[in-house]
Order: sequence, then structure tokens, then C-alpha cells
Amino acid sequence: MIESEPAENEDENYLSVQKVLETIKTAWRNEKLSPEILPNKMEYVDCMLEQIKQMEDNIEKLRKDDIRIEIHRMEIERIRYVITSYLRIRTENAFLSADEMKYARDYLKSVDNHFNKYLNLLPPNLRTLEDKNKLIKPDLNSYVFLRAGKDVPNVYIKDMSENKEDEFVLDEGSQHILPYESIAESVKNGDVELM
Amino acid sequence: MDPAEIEFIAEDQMVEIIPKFNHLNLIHLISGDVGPFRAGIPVKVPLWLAINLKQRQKCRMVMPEWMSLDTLSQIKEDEKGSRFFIKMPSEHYMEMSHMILDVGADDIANLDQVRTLIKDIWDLRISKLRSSIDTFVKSGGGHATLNHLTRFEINSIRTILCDVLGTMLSLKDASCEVDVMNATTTQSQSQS
Repeated sequence: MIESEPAENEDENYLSVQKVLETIKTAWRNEKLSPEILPNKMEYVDCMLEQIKQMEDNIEKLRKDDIRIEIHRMEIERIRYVITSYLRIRTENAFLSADEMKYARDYLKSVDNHFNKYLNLLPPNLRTLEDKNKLIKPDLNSYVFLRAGKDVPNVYIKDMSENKEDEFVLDEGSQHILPYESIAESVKNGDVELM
Repeated sequence: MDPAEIEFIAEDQMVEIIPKFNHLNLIHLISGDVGPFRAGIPVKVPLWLAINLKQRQKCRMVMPEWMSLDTLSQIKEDEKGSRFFIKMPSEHYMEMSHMILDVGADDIANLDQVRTLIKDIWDLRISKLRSSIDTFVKSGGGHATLNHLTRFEINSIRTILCDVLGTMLSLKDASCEVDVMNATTTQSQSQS
């Protein structure tokens, strides 16, 4: 039963479930606000789904009028929402279903046809168009808001007015707006959180 | 981000309730233990749970201390008197107060005054935010520190500000390229 489940020797394990949940929530918030796809946290998601399954099994064993049933269900719904939303953002950006794949191929073909039609009008040395120039890349220069979870030294930001780079230190707990590219690594390793 | 999602995030904040039921064992949520619940004895729970229990008439809501008239008036004065954003007692003051005032209306004294003070504080901060953005954009952008600004406040200006800065950056890049091209042309001309 849920009530008797976390015996003393499981305390450590119990804490780490909270940690897993926090990690997923942070990954979700960052993924929503980041211009590029971040390193995936699938092992945390799998662990949490397992946890949810166990919890649901335990709920089944409770008496129908137990006040805990609705409370646990609600928490599970909230966690499911975060996980679904997290996976959806990543899927939108990274993976395609069969139909979406067909659409993408057709689209590429029609873009190629279109380009070729006009490229042939150009002088021969300008006719080739490399694939990499056709890609729409995530704009890593786009601005993001963030909070530093610890001191982050060596942050380099382009000075737009003078065409040089300035070095900054982000103090722990401070908040900033700056181009994503200058702190991309710190987002990925968890030193800063996007806001 | 959708404002509803920021409310969702704020619902994880802990608040105090006074239960109208007894459940003397801890309830082991995935996010941590809550309880024990004793009728009439205040206990802390996440806001989402407080709202749910309140809607089922199983508790009374207790306003966080910072939602008292005294504290809010003080915050308003401090915000007025400071050039910078002051640190708010809760990073989710706007969403939390909105939800607590909405669901817990019958448990709250001075409801309208509390609501007005929070609106005043929000207005002060947003107008401060607008003028600092103005200065930031006019200075050419690059980097700015925005300590103590809350997620909800940031969200209210995110789209427009990021668009403006992005456009400024691409214009700046374009004008640099033109400079480079001009320089090369002059050079090749002088060589010929």
C-alpha cells in the first residue's frame, strides 16, 4: 500500500524520484524556450513513467472513497502533461511520422524544381546550390532570458555597435537577456536555466 | 510560453491551508510528502492541491503573509522608490495571487484592496520594464541584466523584445557585410 511503501531504507530512493521530476520539469521549460533541440532526458522520462505506473497500481488497491485517490490522480495528470508537452516539442523539431516524411520529401522536391528553373537562367558558375544553403537553421543568435544557477565565467557576447566581443561573468542567481549562442553550452550542462 | 503554462508552473508553489478533514498519515506524492491533515490545523501543500481541496470544500485557504495589506503596501512603496526591480516575496506573485484571490475569495478579507495593490505593483514594474527596454534597445542591445524580474513579467514582453533584438542584429550584420563589400571594392579599384 502507498502508506507503508517508503520504508526508511528507501528514503534515498524516494528523494531521487523528486530529483528526477525536477530534472524533467527543467528540461521541459528549457526545451520550450530554446531555439535549438537540447540533449534529451529520455532516461529520466522512462524512469518517471515507470514511477507513474507503480503509483497507478497502488491507487487501484485503495478503497474507492479514499481521499488520496483523487490527489494522486491529479498529480499524475500534471506530470503526464509535462512529459507529453516535452515530448511533443522535441518531436515537432526532430522526428517525423511517415506522412510528415512524405510531405517533407515532396516539399523538398518542389523547392528543388523551383530553384532549378531559375538557377538555369544564371551564368554557369552560379548554377549550383549546395544543400546546406537550403536548410533553415535554428537562429542560435536569437535572444533568450535566463537565470544563472551558479557563477558562469567566460561568457562572450558580441557588441553589436562596435563589432567586437565583450566578456562577462554571470553571477549565481542573476538574470539576463542575451543571444542564445553565448550561453548555449551552459543551458545544456544545466548551469543556467531559460526563463 | 502560454500564460496558462506559467500558471501551471506556479501551481507547484507551497501554500498554507486549513483542512476540514482528517488524514493522519503522510500522503506520499511523487513530488514529496504532504500532510498530516488535521481539521483546523494549518498545513502546507502545493497550490494545485490547495485549489483542488478548496473546490471540493475540504479546506480553507490561508493567504501567504506577503499578500497582507501591510506587506503589499510596503512592496509598492519600495518598488516606487527604487530604480531597479525589487526582489518580490514570491517569484510567482502575480499568478499565485490571481489564483488564490479567485478560488479562495470567501476566505480573504480586504479582497478588493489586495487585488488593487497587486495590480498597482504590477503596473509599476511593467512601466519600469518598458522604460528599461527602451534604454536597452537605444543603446544597441547586446546584453542586459534583469535581476528580480519574474517569469510572468518576462513572458509579457518576450515575443516583441526578442523580435526587435533579432531584427537589430540582422540589420547590423547586413550593414557589416555592406561595409566589407565596399572595402573590397575600393581595394580592387585602387589596385586596378
